[in-house]
Amino acid sequence: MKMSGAQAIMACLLEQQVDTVFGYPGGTVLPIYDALKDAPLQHILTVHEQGAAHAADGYARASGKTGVCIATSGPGATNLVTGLAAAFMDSVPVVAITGQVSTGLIGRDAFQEIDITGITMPITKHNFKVKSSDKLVDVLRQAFRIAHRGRPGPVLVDVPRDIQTAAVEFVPEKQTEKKVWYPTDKLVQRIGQAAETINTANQPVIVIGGGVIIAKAHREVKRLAEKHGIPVVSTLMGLGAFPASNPLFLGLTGMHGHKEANNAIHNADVIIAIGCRFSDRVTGDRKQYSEGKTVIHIDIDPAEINKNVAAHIGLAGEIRQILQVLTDGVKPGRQEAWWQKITVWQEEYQTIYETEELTAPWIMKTIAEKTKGQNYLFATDVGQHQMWAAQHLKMEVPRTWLTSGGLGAMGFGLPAAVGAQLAMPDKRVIHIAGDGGFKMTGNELYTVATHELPIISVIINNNMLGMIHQLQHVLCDKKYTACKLPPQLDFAAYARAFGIQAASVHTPQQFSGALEKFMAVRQPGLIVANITEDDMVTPMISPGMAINNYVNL
Amino acid sequence: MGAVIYLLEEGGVLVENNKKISGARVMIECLLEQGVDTIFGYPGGQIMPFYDALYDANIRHILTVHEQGAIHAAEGYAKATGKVGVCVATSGPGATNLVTGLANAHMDSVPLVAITGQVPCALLGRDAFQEVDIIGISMPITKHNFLVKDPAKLADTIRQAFYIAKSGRPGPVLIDIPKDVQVAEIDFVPGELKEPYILYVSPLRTP
Repeated sequence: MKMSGAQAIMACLLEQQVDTVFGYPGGTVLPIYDALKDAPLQHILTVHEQGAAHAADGYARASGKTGVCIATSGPGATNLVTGLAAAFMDSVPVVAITGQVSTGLIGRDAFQEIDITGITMPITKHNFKVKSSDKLVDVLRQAFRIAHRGRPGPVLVDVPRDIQTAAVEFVPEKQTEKKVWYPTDKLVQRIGQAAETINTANQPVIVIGGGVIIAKAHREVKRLAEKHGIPVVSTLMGLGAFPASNPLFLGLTGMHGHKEANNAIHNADVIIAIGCRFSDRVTGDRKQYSEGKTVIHIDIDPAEINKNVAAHIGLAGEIRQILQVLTDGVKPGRQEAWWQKITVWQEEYQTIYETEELTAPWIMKTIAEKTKGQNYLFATDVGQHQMWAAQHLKMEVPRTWLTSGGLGAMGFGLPAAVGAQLAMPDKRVIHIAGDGGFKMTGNELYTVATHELPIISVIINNNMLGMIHQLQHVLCDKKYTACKLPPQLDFAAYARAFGIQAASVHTPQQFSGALEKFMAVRQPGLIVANITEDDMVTPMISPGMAINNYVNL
Repeated sequence: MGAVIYLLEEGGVLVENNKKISGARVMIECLLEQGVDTIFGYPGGQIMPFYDALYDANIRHILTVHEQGAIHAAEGYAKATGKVGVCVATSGPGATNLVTGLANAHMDSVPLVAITGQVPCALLGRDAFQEVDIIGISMPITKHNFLVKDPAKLADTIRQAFYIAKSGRPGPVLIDIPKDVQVAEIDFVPGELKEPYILYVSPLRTP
C-alpha cells in the first residue's frame, strides 16, 4: 500500500501495538504530527523533551511494553539525550523517533540540525539514520526488534523530513512464530555444576537484579530460593522481583543496603547472581566482594559475565529456562546454621522508626502500610529519598518500583510517573522526590494536570541537595557547599498554580492525614513533607569500600 | 589544505612554593589564571573534590536548578561579556544535561568551557554509577573535548581548552576529569599558555 513516510511510521507503530507516544513537535517532525492526528494513537505532549523521554521510559518500566517518544531535530533531539542514557543504563526498551533536516541539507549546519546519531552512539543500544524512503519501514521494524529482544535498550531512529513526505510502500508484516530459547546440552551440563555447587554450599545467597524483572523470572527465582531455603537480597533495580514479605528476603544490598543483607553477602560462600550486573554501587570494593567466594552469574548478556566480578560459573541465556533447569538440579533443604546467623542479624539491625518528628524512613514505612495490598506503583527521583524509599518501601511484585538506578538522573521521577500512570490506568502511581530533583522537571505537573493523572507526589523537602550534603559530611569534613537550597519556592503554591491540590506537612499526623485524603480521591495531589536537614541515610558504605565497612554517621 | 599541529611550551614561571596541590586545586588555580570570576554549575558525586576546593576559592558559583540552566547561563554570560563562559557538572546525567547547551554554543560559536566530573579511571568502561561516555557524546557538538587521565597534564589541558574556546572561531570545549585525577597530588607550575606554535604544512609550497 502506498502512503507517505509519516503515515508508514504510524502504520509501523500500530503494527507494534503501540497505543501511546510521548513527544514534542517541531519543524522537522511536522509531517509525523500531521499523520499522528489521524492515527488511533494517544499522543501526550510534555513540557520538555526530557519529560517525553523519561515518560516513555516509565511507560516501558511499568508495562513491559516498548515506550515511544518523538522529538524534532536539533535541540528536540539533544533534549532526549539524558532520557535515552537513563534507559540505556537500566536496559529499558524505548524507541525514540527524531526528525532530521532534509537529506539535501544534512551536513550544512542547517537550522536545528544536529548529528544525533553521532551523539547518541554511546547511549543507545542501536541507532538508525534513514537515508532512503524504501528502507524506512524495515528500519522501524528492526528498531522495535532490537529494543525489546535479548537485553532491552533504547533505539533511536532519525528520519529526515523529506523521507517523512516521500512515497513509501507499506506491506503488513507476516507474523512469524517466536522461537523459544532453550539451553544447549553443554549449558545444561554447566547448570548441573552450578546446582552441585549450591547443594554443597554452607552459606549460599541469591542476589537478584533488574534482569529478573525484565526476564519475567520472578516465579522461578522464588521456586529456587524456597526449594533450598536460600536467603535472597536485591539490588536497587531488582526490588519487587522477590516479595518483600517473604521470610527468605533480607532486603536491599549495596552502598545503602540493609546490614543483614550486606552481612549475608559478605559472609556467604556461594553467591548466586541472577539478572544482576554487579554495579559498583552493589559491590563496593570489587576485589573484596568476591574474595574466597564462589560466584555463579546468571544473565542474558554474556558481556556482563566476568565484567566486574569474576564468575566461577557463568550461565548466559534466558534466566527463566536456566533457573528451571537449575532448580530441578538443586536438592530440597535448608542451611539451619546459616539461618541462625542471619536471624541474629535481622533482630540486631531491625529498624526503629522515629514517631515524634517527621522523618523520611517513617514516611516510607507509612506509605508502604497504607498502600499494602492495593495496586500502587512507586516512581522515585534520585537522592537520599530514593535510598530511603528503597530501604523502607515493601515491593511485592515486579514493575511496581520505578527508579533511575544506573544513570541516577535527577528529574526522572515525575515524567516517569506520568508514563507509568498512562501505562497502567487501573493502578495509581505515587511519585517520591527530593526538593532538588523535583525542581528539575517539576514543570511536568502541567502534563499531570492537563491529563488529570491521579499521581500523588510526595516531596521530601529538606531545603537541600541531601545526598551531596551527606557526602560532604562524610568525605569533605563537613565543608558544605552548593548543597543548600534556600526555601524560595513554595511547592504547595506551585502545585496549586497547575490546579493540583497540595498540602505542606510538618508532623507525622499531618502527613498521614494528607496521604489518606489524597488516596481517597482519584485526582493528582502533592504533599510537601518538611523534614530536618540533618537526616542522613544509614547504613552507608563509603564509595569504593568493602561491603561490610560501614561509615559511622 | 594542510595539517595544523599545535605544540605546547611548558609554563615558564618559577614558583617559590614547591608543595603539591590536589587536582581540584589545580583546576581552581587555572580558572583564576584565566580571569574567571563566575561559574555556573550543579554538584554531584564525581565532581565533589572540585566543589570542595571551590569552598575556599574566590570564584562566585551560581547553583542552578538544572544543568541545562547552568550551561545556557554560561552561554548568556559569554555572549554578553565576550569572555569565556564556564559551567561545571557532575558525571553521567549531569554531563548529558549539558548536551543541548553545548550544541547551542557550537552552532552559534560561543566561547565556553564545560567541566564535567567523571568516574575514577579504574572504573571507566565498567558501567559505573553515573558513568557516561561524554567525550563520545559531545564529539559532534564541541569545538574540542578532553578526557584528562594523567594528573600531570591537567593544568595544561585546562589552559589549552580556554585557548581553543576563545581563539579563531570560538566554540565550546568540554573537559572530562575523573575523580581520582581531581584528588591526585600534582606539581603545579603557575603560568600562561604561551602562544602555541602552529606548524602549517601546505602541499602547494615547500616550508
